[in-house]
Amino acid sequence: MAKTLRTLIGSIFRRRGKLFTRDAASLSLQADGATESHPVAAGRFPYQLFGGDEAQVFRSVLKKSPTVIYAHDRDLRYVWVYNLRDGYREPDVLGRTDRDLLPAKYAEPITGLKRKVLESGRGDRQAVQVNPASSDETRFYDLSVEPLLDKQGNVAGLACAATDITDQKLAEERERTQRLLAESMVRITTLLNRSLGLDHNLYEVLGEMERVIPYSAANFVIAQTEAARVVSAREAPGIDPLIATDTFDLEANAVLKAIRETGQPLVSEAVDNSPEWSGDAFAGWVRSYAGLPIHVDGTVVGFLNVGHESPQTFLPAYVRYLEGVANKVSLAIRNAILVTDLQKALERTRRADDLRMTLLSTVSHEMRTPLASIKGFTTTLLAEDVTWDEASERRFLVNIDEEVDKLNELVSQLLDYSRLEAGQLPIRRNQAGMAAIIADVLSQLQIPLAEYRVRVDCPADLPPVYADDRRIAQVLGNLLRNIIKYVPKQTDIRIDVSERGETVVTAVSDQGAGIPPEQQDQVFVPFKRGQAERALQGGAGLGLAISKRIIEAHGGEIWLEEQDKAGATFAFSLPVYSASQIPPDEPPGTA
Amino acid sequence: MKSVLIVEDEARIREFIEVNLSARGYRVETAATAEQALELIRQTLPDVLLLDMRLPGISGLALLDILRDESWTTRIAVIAMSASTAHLEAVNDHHPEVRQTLEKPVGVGQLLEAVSQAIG
Repeated sequence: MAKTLRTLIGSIFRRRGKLFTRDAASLSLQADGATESHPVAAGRFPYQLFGGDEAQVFRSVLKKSPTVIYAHDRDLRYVWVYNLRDGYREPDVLGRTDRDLLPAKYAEPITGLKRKVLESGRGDRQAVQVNPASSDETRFYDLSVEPLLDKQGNVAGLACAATDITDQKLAEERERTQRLLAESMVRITTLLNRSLGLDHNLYEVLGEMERVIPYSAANFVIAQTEAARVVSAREAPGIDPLIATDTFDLEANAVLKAIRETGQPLVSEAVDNSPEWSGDAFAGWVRSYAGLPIHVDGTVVGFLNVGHESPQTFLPAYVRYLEGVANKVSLAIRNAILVTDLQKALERTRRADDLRMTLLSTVSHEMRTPLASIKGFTTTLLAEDVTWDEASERRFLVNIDEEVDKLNELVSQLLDYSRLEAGQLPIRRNQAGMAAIIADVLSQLQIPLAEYRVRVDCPADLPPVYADDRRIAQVLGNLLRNIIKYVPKQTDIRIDVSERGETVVTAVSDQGAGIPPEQQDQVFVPFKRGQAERALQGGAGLGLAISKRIIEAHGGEIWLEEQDKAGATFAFSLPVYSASQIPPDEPPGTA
Repeated sequence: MKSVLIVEDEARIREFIEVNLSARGYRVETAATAEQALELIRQTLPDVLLLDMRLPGISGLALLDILRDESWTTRIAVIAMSASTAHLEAVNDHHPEVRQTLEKPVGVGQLLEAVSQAIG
């Protein structure tokens, strides 16, 4: 055995020629950096220094190194072992082969290497994997194999040295993973910066994640006020989605609820049937789970969820990566919100610009019409070449007077409209009765309305409304003035007030020609007005647009009822007054 | 006695033109729409047509197109009126036969001058 060992060690040393070479008489040390003062550096082999057993010296050296040395016979049975590690014991190993001792996935590459050396007679070296005697954990070894020759020079067996390089391997593996994850994070940043829409980008992000971390299914969930919505999801082939429905109740999902409440990631490496995982929150196949909150301005607005069919898959490095992804997505959502706000602001500006242009051209025309009459009749009265009779003069003056009123009404409407648009028309809401408002408006319009048959149906037990009575009178006045403008005299006007749910609805009906179907969706649009009747009366086409804004500022609605009979019915709703609305509110921007 | 046809949808402006031209010896007829105007032109062939550009239905500009296609109307002196500069520019560009343009508001002096020049 001692002879075998010497041969074995000798061959190992030849293989690792950088450390030692051996000639027939002695071994000399050639290690770099060895100092002359060291006894070994003098060129004498250690056993000569101690005068002991050569094998004993190497035993103690090997004992301290992570290297196992052993010999095989031609059948690759272990015939000699030294410095066994990883829980393997000599009696269990001797007489057996790698195939007896290791799972096939480890035994086969090792056996292959050893057979090659047996057949070729040339030594070889390779990194291999094994598992400890009583565990599945993978260990990495640097395995060096040399042929052992008999006296005739035939290969009689193998001499092997296996050095544990697991720590180094794992460090390399970790480094590689870190690098991959870091590169992936760069790609994710790029993906999220594309202007293809957040939902689309998020789907691509899930695809990128799939390249670097193991997951069976993943998704992004956005938390909305009442429900949560899956905005993007990805699954491995044949795997059900992580969350079955596109929208779900966030409160019913214990896991996401916990993440939202703590604002912290939640990782479970062994999902079981415990209460938080039971129910429909996540698919039944999930065994590992990682959920990351997506924060925007300190609020959890969404989640990144990943699940795996196997337990123990989301290593700390992966969880850190997922946190990074969630942070990038937070930024993207924040940017998307900012961009949306900006677009909205631009759209508002654009609409305001359009409106201003329409206003300018309409106003110039609408003001010039009464101005044309005023200018015409004043110059008529001033002209010296004609003498008008008293009745004509009076008629001209009445014309001027009425046109000035028209101009004035137009100016007030424009002022009201622009203040409403700017949110500066004060709406002072308080307890108000529709009956009183109606009576007030009817008395204001007493003279023109005298030519119509006005009927009011306003039940005495109607609850009060929460409204600015002056503004509501303005709305009702606008509706009635439109009737006076457009509807033939000696017809019926009905004002019906009724309670509907939490609102009071006032409906004003006439017996005119009604609104042509193609104009019905335009009636509340500024500057649109009844074309056919334009010749009859002026007006900027702002009355209904102003009314709509006033009613909406009260939290009510105004609409044109379906026309099933002759005439038109405009109706508006106002909230019923209740004690809890005290004190009366003042909207922002009150002048 | 020269005849003038006023086509104007705003009643008060129509009245203003009518009383002033009548008082100065013109024979005046009025129309509130282009359709009415066409009928009157075919019946009476006025010397002057005072035409508002913005009319309900057929516009003043469209009426000018119709008249150009009816050669017998070429001896009518046309005065185009509008509150809109853009409308009057369109008239100048497309209808060189229009003798005068009047931008509202118009005083009596301008009105009379335009009519007398159009008759020229």
